[in-house]
Amino acid sequence: MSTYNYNKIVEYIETSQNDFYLLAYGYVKNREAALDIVQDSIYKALSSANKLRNIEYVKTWFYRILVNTSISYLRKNKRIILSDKVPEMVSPENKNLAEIYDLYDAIDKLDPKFKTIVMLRYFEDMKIDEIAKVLDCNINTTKSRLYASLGKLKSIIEGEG
Amino acid sequence: MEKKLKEVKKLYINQEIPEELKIMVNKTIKDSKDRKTRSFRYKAASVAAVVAISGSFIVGLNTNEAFAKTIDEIPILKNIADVFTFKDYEMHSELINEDINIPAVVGLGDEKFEQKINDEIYEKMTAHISEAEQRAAEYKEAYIATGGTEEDYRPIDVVVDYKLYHADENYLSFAVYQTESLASAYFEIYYYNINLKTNETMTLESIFGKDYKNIINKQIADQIQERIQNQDCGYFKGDAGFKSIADNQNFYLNEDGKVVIIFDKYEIASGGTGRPEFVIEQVK
Repeated sequence: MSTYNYNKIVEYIETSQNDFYLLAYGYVKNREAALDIVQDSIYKALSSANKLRNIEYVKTWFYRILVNTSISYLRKNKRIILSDKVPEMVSPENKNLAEIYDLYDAIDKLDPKFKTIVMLRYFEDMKIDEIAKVLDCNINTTKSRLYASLGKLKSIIEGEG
Repeated sequence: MEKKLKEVKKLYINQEIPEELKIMVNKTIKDSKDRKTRSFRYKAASVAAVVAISGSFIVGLNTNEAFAKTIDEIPILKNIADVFTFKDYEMHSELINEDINIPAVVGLGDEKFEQKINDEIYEKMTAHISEAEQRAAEYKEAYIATGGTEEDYRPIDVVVDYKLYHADENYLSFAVYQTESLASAYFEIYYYNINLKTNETMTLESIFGKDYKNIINKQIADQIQERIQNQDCGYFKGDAGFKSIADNQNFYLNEDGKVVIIFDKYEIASGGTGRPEFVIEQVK
């Protein structure tokens, strides 16, 4: 690891910390748990900074750590996380408010594997190839997993009527 | 669906960010820097560390073939400025957790000398690691035999890492050490001081001249007296106390390039004093 890489990673973490928190929060819906996950991910990233060969991939590399940390947190603490309240909607003029909340809840019900892909694609606005790097799988698998996620979301919503 | 997801995104990003996030992030970054001596805080214009092997992967330590193979995979940078590289891997088993960073010097321009140093470090460290594995196996056996259960047994942590003390275009000074959680008695450290101009291992004699023992002993004795006067009572007196440095006395170069003599725990002082260090000034 060069000092250069290390400093760039630190810089990246400092500028993107809010995004990390939001993603972690998206998984656990709990403020303390999300802070824990972010902290854990930073530790992991910095102590394995030497494993990042190309600084250009810092984003997908860090997100991979963040996603894995979040998912293993969920696995370990399945029953004890208490969800915070759903945040207030920003645009009250929206007519389909109920539907939006339903969708928000539906995403929460997805298996972590599918939830990840939906959050990265639609909330973090990542491109398919970036998501593939984060998940460490190929582009086609990523694509089909994305469609599968949308399908699952649909059936969750419709199932509830 | 995609349109609605955009609306959901508003919910997602509208989530309040806790104030303590920033504080926590800064603290975590700082802690992490302090913890890792390998983040080079030194004026290391001519030093860069190169990652040897990517990913954390598992190597059977007893298979030397595997080791030899991974060594071949170390990408040595073309850049002459890169003096350090390290082999790093983690291994986790029921017996032992290993976090190994074995450093190696590269690009000194004298391959034989490099090879000699690297072989020596490598051999010493792998020998310690296999000893540690053996101890772990014995320990586990004893643990079970005395009524401990398999589930309660915690693997022993073994760490091999290095510390870089000084690096500039003339000198390189570092130590390689091994510790394990079973007992602090299994702490081993080896110091390496290299003159990069001549590609030789530095000795105290090469720095202070023939009279090196007298020069150094006097300064150490004075410093011990001074410390004792400052209520630092850990130093042994009389026969057990400091008399002279050894022929192969451990030392390193600090950030300013000054020689620091270091003693083992219990060598000249009680355990509470730790491993005493003495900065030695050059006398003209």
